[in-house]
Amino acid sequence: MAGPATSLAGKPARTGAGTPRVIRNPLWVRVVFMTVALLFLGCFLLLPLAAVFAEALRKGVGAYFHSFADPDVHSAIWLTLLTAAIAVPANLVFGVAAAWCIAKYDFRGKSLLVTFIDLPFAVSPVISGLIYMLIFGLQGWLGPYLGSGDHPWFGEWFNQQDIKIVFAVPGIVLATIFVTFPFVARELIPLMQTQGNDEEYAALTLGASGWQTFWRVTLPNIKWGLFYGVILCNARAMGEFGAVSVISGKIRGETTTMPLQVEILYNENNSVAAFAVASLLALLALVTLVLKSFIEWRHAQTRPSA
Amino acid sequence: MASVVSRRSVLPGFGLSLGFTLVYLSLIVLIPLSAAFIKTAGMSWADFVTTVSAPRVVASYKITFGISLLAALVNAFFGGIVAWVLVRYTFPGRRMVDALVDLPFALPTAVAGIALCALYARNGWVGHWLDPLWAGGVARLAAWVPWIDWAGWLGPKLAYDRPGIFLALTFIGLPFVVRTLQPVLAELEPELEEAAATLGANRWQTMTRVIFPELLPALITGFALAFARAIGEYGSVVFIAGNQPLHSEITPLLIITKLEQYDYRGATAIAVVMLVASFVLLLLINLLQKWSRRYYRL
Amino acid sequence: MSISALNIRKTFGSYTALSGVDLHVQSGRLVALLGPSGSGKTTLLRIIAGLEYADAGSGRIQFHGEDVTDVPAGKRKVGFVFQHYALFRHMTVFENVAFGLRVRRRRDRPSKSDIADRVNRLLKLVQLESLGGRYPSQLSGGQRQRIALARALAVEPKVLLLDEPFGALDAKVRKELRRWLRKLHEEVHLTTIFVTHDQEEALEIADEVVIMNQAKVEQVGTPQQVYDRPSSPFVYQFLGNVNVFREQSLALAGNGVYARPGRLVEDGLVYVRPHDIAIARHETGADGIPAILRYVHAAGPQARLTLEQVQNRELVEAEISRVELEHLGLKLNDLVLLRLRQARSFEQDYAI
Repeated sequence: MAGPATSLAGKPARTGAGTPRVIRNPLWVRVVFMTVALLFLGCFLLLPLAAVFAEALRKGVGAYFHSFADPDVHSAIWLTLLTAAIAVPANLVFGVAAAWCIAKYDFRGKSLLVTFIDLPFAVSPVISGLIYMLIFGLQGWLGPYLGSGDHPWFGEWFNQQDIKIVFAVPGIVLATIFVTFPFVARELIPLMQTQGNDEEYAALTLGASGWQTFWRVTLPNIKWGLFYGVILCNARAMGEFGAVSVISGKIRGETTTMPLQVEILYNENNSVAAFAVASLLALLALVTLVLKSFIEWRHAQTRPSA
Repeated sequence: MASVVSRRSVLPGFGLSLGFTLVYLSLIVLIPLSAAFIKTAGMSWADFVTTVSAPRVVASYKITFGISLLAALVNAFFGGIVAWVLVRYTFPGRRMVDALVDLPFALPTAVAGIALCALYARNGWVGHWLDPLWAGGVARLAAWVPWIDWAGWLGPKLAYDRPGIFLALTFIGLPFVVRTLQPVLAELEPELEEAAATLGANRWQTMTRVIFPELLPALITGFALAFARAIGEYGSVVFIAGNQPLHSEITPLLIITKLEQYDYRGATAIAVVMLVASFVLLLLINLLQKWSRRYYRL
Repeated sequence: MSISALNIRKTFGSYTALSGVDLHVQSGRLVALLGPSGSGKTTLLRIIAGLEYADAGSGRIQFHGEDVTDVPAGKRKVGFVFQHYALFRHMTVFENVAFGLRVRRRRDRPSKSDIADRVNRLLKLVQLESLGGRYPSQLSGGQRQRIALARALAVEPKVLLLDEPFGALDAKVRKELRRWLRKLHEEVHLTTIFVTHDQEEALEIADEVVIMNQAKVEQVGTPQQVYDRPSSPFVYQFLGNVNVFREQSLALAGNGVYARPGRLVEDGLVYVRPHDIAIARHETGADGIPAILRYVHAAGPQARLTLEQVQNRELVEAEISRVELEHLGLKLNDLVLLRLRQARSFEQDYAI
């Protein structure tokens, strides 16, 4: 499972830290470990984060806010929000359906299915964009020519209908759905597996229908895990760069998302504007981390009682 | 997936949820991914081999896989220490540091890329003193051991050269080892260490003979995850790599370059090589996790 | 309402959980399904509840003579209490109990005040009327169990099924709760089946005990019947401590050991409960199995003795009163004679 190793279900309810122990490393070892760990994290995490905000504000607050006056930036922000607003709910519905059938039932081929769901994490973002080019691009598989033959195919049809996918918003959305595909599902599967089916069975024996059982019993039980998956999915959806950059065509004001706008501005040596847009994305990342810690904290609070 | 047979269950919704899952999975993931393989199948074997073994392509594999490996190793070492500190020690701000470890998951890669440039470029915060040190060090090495192409291997610069790629890949791979080790460490019973102590082992023996072997499967899994992530990484690397063909051009960038030249076949052929490598890694990681789960259950 | 399960088979892959089981429970009875883990008792209970399907083509489930095999769980009118309670974590106690009423279709649903009345009445019945606003996590194990019961009763079930109802509780709470369950059953008089692996529990409160082993029913009867007249060595061993003697070793001990058995089963084994063994000081020439006292466990009213047979060095457990023990004045490693008051070798009783 080549994805982020973070998962709510994998979190221990309480860590062993803080329990006083007699058997432990000598003081000097603890000091060395702490120093090395904190220095490493400081260099690799804190510094880059600080750099984003410092660079954005290098020419003062005025210049920082002036960066957001650019209509291209507006359209990039808008497109990013739109993409996430489509990709996240789509993967949310999928994640719940996939977790339901995988966690609640036994069937052959289940572990294969789980592996397939994880596939997008194993694929380079660049390749994620490429495969949609191959299908929908005019040069591509479902373009006018299939392989080396000359069969008219989907791309041509889409073209006739005047539906643009590649170098347009639908392509960006599709590529984003692909790269964020597993987030919700892989969060919910272990969670629902550890919760078991007893509460659902209890609801059924009390006369609840399938949907009633889902809405009133299952969903309230998984809501924090669901929320957790959604914020991770959202962070990736808004921040995806590689896949989107392949398929977007980077038409300014039309097909640039915020990360692409950062690249364009940076390559134009408009460093303050690039970092200003980047600072919004960094803020998004920070909010994501805060929400994530909050959910983990709540989870640790409630779990021992379950 | 034709052989999906459910044991009849009284919980409703199996057909609906599995049906939806399979259709969505096929449309979004399986069919598009197979497009890459079908497209490549249209090439002759000789064409394929020529494309994927061209010198520039092979150089990009070496750079991508080599530096990814190095970054994953460094992450395994430091990640292990970070996980240990986060699980075992209490200190003010531990919660915040713990949350911050996930930053590379949450921060868009493009932002990470330009931030690392701002830090390590010759005029950057860290670069303005570290870059000359690095260049000086490489030059000294070249003077002592002249028969190795030190500048070629290590790059005379930090940013816009191979060290930059290493920095970016270390950044994005950082959380994997920490997050894989943390739950294992937290669940490691203190009794194990206490037992070792009562049996007369000193702290070093306990660490190396009792704790380390317990952690090893998780450590390897975390390492493999970080490595898998690094070989596909694009966003954070392109800004800082310098992107010189044969020297600091990573494979994902090469795929994009081919695409921009409308060489879809070439791009796809290289992509297939990368996909196969990723799938093999995914398989290995799954096996590793199965192994470590069995190992821990005991 | 009476319950019948006819020829129920259930396999999980290559594992057989139930191999053609029949079960009949008369209306108003409190029945225990007793057996070791893996004997299929929980599976049978879940099939009766409609939470599991029997293998295709195998038996039927009937409630009061009416076939309910294809009726879904929610429509069978069963109250099911889960081993780990399965209380809805995100709902208060009140909401948990009210759930079954609130999910009814509007025209069948009681009014809000009726629901509140009924829930409060049930909470009173389970003696937890003051805890309606709590969450399950704020309750003790015994309280959770009673809430689970109240929730199951709220839908006015025709039968009550309990899966290891006291399995997760500590010994003292268990004892209280099972008396309480017996009392409750006398008040509401629902046909009730409960699963347990604890023979003491089953024998104490059930009207009828169904003993299961290896996917089959071994014996059905009142607690007294199954304890006094076990139908198989398995039942004998499962329902209490037992010593197994070889027939040959008894023959050597003389006629006075017990009235000579008329016929023995082929394996020649004789089963004796520890409290059916009488102990006498050794006298040369007297009948009895010679044994050496190895260990005395004398906490409580009864003393448990561990003895080693002289002939074959096999260990025997005996239970005698403390008074008797003092009267005998035994020390460790004394030689004694064992006599059997009541022994079984299957199909017949033997008594001195």
